[in-house]
Amino acid sequence: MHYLQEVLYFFSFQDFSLNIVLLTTLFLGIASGLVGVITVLNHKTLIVNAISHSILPGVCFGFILSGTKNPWYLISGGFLSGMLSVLLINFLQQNSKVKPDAAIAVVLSFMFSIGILFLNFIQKSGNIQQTGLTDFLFGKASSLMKIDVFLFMLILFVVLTLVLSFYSKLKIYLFDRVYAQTIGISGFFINSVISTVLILVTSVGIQTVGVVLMSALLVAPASSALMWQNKFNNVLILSVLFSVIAGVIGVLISYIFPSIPTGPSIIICLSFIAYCSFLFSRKGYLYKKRRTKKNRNKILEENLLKSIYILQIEDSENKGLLKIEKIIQQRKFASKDLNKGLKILVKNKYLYKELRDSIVLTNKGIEKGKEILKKHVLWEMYLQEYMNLKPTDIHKSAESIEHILTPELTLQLEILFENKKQKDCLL
Amino acid sequence: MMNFEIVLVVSALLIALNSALLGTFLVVNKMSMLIDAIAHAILPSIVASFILFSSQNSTWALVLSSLLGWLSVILMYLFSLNKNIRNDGVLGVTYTSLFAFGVILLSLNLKNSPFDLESILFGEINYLPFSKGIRVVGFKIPYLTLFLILFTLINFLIYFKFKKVWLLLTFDALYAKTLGVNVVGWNILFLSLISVNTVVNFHSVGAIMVISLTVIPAVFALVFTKKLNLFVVFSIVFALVSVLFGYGLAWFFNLNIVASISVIMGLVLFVSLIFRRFFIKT
Repeated sequence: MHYLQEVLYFFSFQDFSLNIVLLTTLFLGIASGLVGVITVLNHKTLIVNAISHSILPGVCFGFILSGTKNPWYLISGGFLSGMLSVLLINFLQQNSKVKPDAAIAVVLSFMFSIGILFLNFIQKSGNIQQTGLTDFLFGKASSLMKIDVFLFMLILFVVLTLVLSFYSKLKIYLFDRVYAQTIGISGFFINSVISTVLILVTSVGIQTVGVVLMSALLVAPASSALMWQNKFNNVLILSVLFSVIAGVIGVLISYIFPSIPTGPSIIICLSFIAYCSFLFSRKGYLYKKRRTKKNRNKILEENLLKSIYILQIEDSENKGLLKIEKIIQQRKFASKDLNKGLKILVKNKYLYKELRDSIVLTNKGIEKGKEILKKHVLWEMYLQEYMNLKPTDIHKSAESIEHILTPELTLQLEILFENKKQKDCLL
Repeated sequence: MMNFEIVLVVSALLIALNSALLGTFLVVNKMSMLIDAIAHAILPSIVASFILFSSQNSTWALVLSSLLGWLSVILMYLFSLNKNIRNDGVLGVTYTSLFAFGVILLSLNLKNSPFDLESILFGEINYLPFSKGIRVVGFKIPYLTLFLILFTLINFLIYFKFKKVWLLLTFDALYAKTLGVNVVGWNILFLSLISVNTVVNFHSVGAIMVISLTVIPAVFALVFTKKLNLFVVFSIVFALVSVLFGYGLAWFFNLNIVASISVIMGLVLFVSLIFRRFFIKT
């Protein structure tokens, strides 16, 4: 009951400081959901890490120059040092044969170390306001103030304007870089836009979740959304939705259990969504695995049935009774696969076992075997007649095509050869 | 020099030596960000061992976090081999969620404890000489330094013993596979070595600087040489020299030692690159 009351109070939006946290989380969620998709599709997930760590020296530098903890100075400093980190990464990659990940690791740790030296310097200078500067490391969502809400809103506004005004160009570039360049979209320009929005979102986002967890705030909702949808617009909407939902639930959890910090609880919610997507979506692990298994079983089943059918045509003396050993002579099956395939065939009533080591095809099995063989032969004929391939080359292709040829295509092929036969007769 | 200063410098040199050696393998194999992942993923284990044994730098904390770090690295490596989950989102989400979990675990259990979250990112090598240790002829050696000496011996033993495999895997893993080398097995061995070393280094230099100590020397050496022997020697010498200069800088201005070491490393790298770009015609 106690918790229920707190939840009700939470959603009544009466608490002023809570509203500030919720509003900033909402603005940040929308921005990070959008930018996250762009980042992931542009293969820049690692750079987020470098940018978020590089913001520390900028924030410290802004503090040293201004002497106050005014967020405008700190954020501008952070933005500039974020820019610097992107430039440094590009410089490193262009002037040495270093791979992108190494360049990112170098810049990340180098900039962060500079930040620590700045912090040392500030601590020695004895400015009273310096306490709380390290909040940037682990986030301080619960201690955000009214001025921060405006800051978050402004950043969201700028990000939305940039993304919407270059929306179509961005979409084309993310979908096909080479095509985008051929129609005159400058890759450098689009990359600059992407880096700008990325740095903007990161420089405000680390105030909520901290330096380390920033990359998850961008990557997790985007990669979850990409598991469910294929269309760019839908992915964007879903990603924003995920990130807003996780944000609200994260704030709620840390409100009910005050000892849990807000940033990490948002990230845990996001990770939960991400893991569910990785496991259960249509492009996810479990679905893929099940489909692979199904396909493999189908191929095994059809290959086995075909072999049995061919054997049965070859010797019709035994009244359809066929020794299992003979199958292995016709086509090499591993004994494990053979047993598994036979079990599946018995289950589907294509054949039944007679005695201990023999099998008999049912009528259904004969029909199915005939069908598979027909597909095989049709495809071989097609390759020979229309593709002018040598007879020695076509068997292998037909072996794989026979499993995926749809009934409609089979019918089409049949009609094709029927017509050809008639034509040949007329000639 | 005081007793503790000698311990400090020797430990820093040993850490730099180990990291530089292993960094050569990581950088060429495109696994640099793995260090980042390990350093963050082991937070829950460090917190857990702190709750269990109520000390941040106990030997048990070291063992437990090494174990979890090792486990997560091997899992991540095996994941990256699986075609069905080859997706950099999984890796990114895994280590950040482990870190978030660690922070939550910490704040739930140890509200007003002496556990220092900042030192996880910054690293406090200054405390190392004052941690538990043994006395040898009136000279106190911390356990962590002993571990470092042990690991240095193991690392170099493995490097010299399996130099050929190391070279093969570093420069052409596909060729190694055609030769019949068990690439996955060897990678697991080397990654285990790297993860254990990273965890031990992490305890004294923090989550971020362990990256610079590992990656920057190898990147620097890669710019100037292409031969494996020279590559390894170059990066080790670079690391050791930067440790000495960085320590000097930190001592002179009273700064964080590890941060000044990695700033020196980065500055030398960038300055030499700029110099090469603008003043030497290639």
